[in-house]
Amino acid sequence: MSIEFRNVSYIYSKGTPIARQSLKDINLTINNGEWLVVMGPTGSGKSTLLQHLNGLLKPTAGTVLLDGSDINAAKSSLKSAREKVGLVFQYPEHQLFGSTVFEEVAYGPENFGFPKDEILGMVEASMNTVGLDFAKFKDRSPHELSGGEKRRVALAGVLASRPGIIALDEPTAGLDSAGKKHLVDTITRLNRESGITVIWVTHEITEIAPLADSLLVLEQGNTRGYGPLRDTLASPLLGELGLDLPVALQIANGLRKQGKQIQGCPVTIDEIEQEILSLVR
Amino acid sequence: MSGEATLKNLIEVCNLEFSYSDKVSEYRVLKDINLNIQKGEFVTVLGPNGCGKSTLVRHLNGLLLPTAGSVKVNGFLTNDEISLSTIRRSVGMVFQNPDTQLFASVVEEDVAFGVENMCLPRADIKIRVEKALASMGLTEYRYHPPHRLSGGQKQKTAIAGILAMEPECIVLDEPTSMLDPKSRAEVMKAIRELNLNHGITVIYVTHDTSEALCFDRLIALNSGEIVFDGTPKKFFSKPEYPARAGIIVPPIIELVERLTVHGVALPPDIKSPEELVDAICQLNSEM
Ligand SMILES: Nc1ncnc2c1ncn2[C@@H]1O[C@H](COP(=O)(O)OP(=O)(O)OP(=O)(O)O)[C@@H](O)[C@H]1O
Ligand SMILES: Nc1ncnc2c1ncn2[C@@H]1O[C@H](COP(=O)(O)OP(=O)(O)O)[C@@H](O)[C@H]1O
Ligand SMILES: [Mg+2]
Ligand SMILES: [Mg+2]
Repeated sequence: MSIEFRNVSYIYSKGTPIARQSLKDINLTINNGEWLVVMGPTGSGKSTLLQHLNGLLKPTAGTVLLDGSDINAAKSSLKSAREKVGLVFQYPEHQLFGSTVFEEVAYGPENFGFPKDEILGMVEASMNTVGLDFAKFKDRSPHELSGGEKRRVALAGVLASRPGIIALDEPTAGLDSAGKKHLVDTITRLNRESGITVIWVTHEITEIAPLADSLLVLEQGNTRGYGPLRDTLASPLLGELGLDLPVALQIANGLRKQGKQIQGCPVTIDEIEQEILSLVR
Repeated sequence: MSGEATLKNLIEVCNLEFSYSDKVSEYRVLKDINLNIQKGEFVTVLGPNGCGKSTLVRHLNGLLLPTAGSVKVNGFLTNDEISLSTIRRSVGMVFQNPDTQLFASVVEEDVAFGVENMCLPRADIKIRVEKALASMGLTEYRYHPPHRLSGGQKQKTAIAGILAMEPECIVLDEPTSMLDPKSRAEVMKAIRELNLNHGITVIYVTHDTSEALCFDRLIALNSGEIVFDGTPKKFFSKPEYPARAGIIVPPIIELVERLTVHGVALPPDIKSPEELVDAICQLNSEM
């Protein structure tokens, strides 16, 4: 499934004294099966952009296309966008309303009309996927969980409906290191095996740099950089904006500054290890 | 323990047990926690999701009360109702989800809320609020409604509110999880400054292992028990310690290990990309 943003602008509280333009003329093409990373300083418009993907926010100007058609054209296109695009919010509390974890995770599949006898299996599978023990958590109230557990429930809820596109807003925030790894592995599998399109907003690039295809960098609602991930990482942009670079690339850049020869744009530990070994040998 | 030693302890946690449900059989979230924190310490708390970090820190200002055992702040028991307001004034808390903490109609009011209840002269309040807003880079948002901020801006507002109160001890529960690296560094700088120059005790919960490296003392929890209490340097010096706390070692430490296995002679305590770059350049100049 593909998504296109054509000249999308968004202004919060338009026409009031606190009006704020949070997106300015954004153009994007996310192809079927592509993995896009979105980075930007706090307040740069990342969450605002994400909420346009399934019509939670409607562009002040411009169009959002899902497989070529405007999602805001009609009620029916909006409904279909809500089904196809799974959105995991920045704060999981904002999407938890069921009285048990089971109910919470089953909500999507039930609402989108999956057959009753399949739902149990779907819920169990997606809870396993996010590392939540089914027996231990299914009857608990989502509101009485730890922060990281809530995040996992919210994720399981979105995954359960098997969306064709998944948009995740700072999904690793609040997850422990094992949980982060698990999530990255899961999304990688869904992307590689089921061809799910991924839009991943984050401040932490190290783990996903080797996996994603493209990178969009926002600042104050403007596109500051957009293109293949490694090309965008190789430009000085992220450093200028005070954003995170993959650890491997931080080391490579540091070594280059000291006059050392480093090939290309290393983003994995393996790649930088090889570079360092050939330097010291 | 001698009287003097007890006095220096700002926080004393003694055989603390906690369970969220009063059913006796229900599993205990905290199991026999013993912990002393002295005035002026700079402490980080680490551990997997659900291990009890938030539950533990919510005991430190009496938001939660022990099922068994006790928690004392400056010698006052948290389950002594008369002491509670004194304790709350000593220990300020920034919660994991700032939404639960922000309720005023504009950012400035939210930041001022705590200070205003401290019976300070107007002018002092104003100075403190100004300073807190500036240190979190929020001055331009002062008249914005907090619920209309981005997630990271909300976190900054909650932190500014506590900074302005200048309590003896600040507890921050994953305060920077939604912040960009630059803002994280600003928060770290602000609390370190309070710690060094004003002797404010800091207790900081995080999942970010590189952030944890900045603290003097690291307490790791797993399944409601303390599994490590010592310096961050020691914690990452042996794979056994992070493993005990269910923590994956940061990539920089993994890389140093791999290079060492390959016979690259690196110093043992490298913990940042900059330090590794320096060490490699040293090697090269020696060759
Ligand atoms: N209000 C509550 N009622 C019942 N159980 C709770 C409540 N809050 C937390 N728990 C449970 O207590 C345990 C410890 O939770 P706590 O919030 O202290 O974890 P944490 O270490 O802060 O985790 P995280 O890293 O995810 O924030 C978890 O098993 C959690 O499900
Ligand atoms: N509901 C809202 N009403 C008004 N302004 C908002 C709202 N949500 C966010 N903003 C503002 O829009 C800008 C972009 O916010 P957001 O997209 O949440 O940023 P990010 O996700 O990149 O941190 C920020 O300046 C923020 O203050
Ligand atoms: Mg956001
Ligand atoms: Mg917590």
